[in-house]
Amino acid sequence: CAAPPQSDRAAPQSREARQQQLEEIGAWQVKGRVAIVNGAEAWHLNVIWRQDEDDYQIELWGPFGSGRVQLEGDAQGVRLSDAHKQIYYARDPESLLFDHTGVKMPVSGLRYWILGLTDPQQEQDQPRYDARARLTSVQQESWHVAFKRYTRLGELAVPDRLTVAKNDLQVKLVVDDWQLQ
Amino acid sequence: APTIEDYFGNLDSFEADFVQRLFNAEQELQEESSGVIKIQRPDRFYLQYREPYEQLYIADGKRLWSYDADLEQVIVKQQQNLLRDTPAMILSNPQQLQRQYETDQYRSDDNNLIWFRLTPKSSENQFDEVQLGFDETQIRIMELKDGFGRITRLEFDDIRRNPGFSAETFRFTPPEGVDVIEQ
Repeated sequence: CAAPPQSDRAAPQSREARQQQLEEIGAWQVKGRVAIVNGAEAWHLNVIWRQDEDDYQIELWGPFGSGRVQLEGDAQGVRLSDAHKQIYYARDPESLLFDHTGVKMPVSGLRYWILGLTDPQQEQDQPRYDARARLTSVQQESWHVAFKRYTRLGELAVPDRLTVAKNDLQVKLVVDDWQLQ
Repeated sequence: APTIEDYFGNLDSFEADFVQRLFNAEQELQEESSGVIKIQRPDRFYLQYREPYEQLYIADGKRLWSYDADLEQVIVKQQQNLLRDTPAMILSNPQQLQRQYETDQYRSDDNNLIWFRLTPKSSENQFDEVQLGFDETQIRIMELKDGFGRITRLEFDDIRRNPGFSAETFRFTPPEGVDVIEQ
């Protein structure tokens, strides 16, 4: 008979086992570059993202460290500080970034997608896996998330090329340095 | 050692290797990168990061091109106020430098660099303070501090003053198959 479709070849429990291992990662740091296209506007930024359970710190900057923006938050709220010594507060990072940049950046979703996990707080639709039980794409509340490439982190595989798109917003992330804290 | 006016007065073009270090407000090193910078007065520059990844920024006098091979994308923006308070402007545009910054000769340090401190005349500048370190002939170090005490430090090496560039140097043609976003 024909070989099963690619996504079923991996034994189911290795998908659960892999998901469990990823979920156990409490603290991690990613250094990389992000391209954001929001309709006619676009940015290339460097990014450092530190996550420790629900606490996170995300720093974005351009050439020569210009235009540095820092987001620091936890489950209760988030603070944004920009290069002009302005500080802004909000309940959630999405509304804060939107007010500041006009971009609806799915920060809460990225926290999981960056690891190769689906976001447990959002509906998920048509997850696809490769032969090694790694997520290759998923749709979460009209965010199309594609995991383009994986890299090794210890004995785990984590994404180092990721795109997220919805309507006319497209985010491409390239990870240069993965670390477990 | 040169004063700022002497140094920048007859600087028409400039080329150097650089190492860039970014420090957070607690002065911890966040990132180190290196590359090559080429500047042609008054408003063209070529900035190529080579390590730890490739990124290219070219200001051709009208537009700023930014290209990242891994992101497979080019972004093109109108140049005018983009460069206002970046090192590229400071190095390439002394009139704007004098208009925007108070400069005072600040100190010399143990590896006998003469330091100048630039403080912005208006608050829109992104950087609260810029320090320039010179040896007898060249600018060696540029430090830019923002409102939160975060520092960008550029160290220049292999510096060539007035090398004279071909116009080609500051022209960018996007590679095949890369998406170009024009703003």
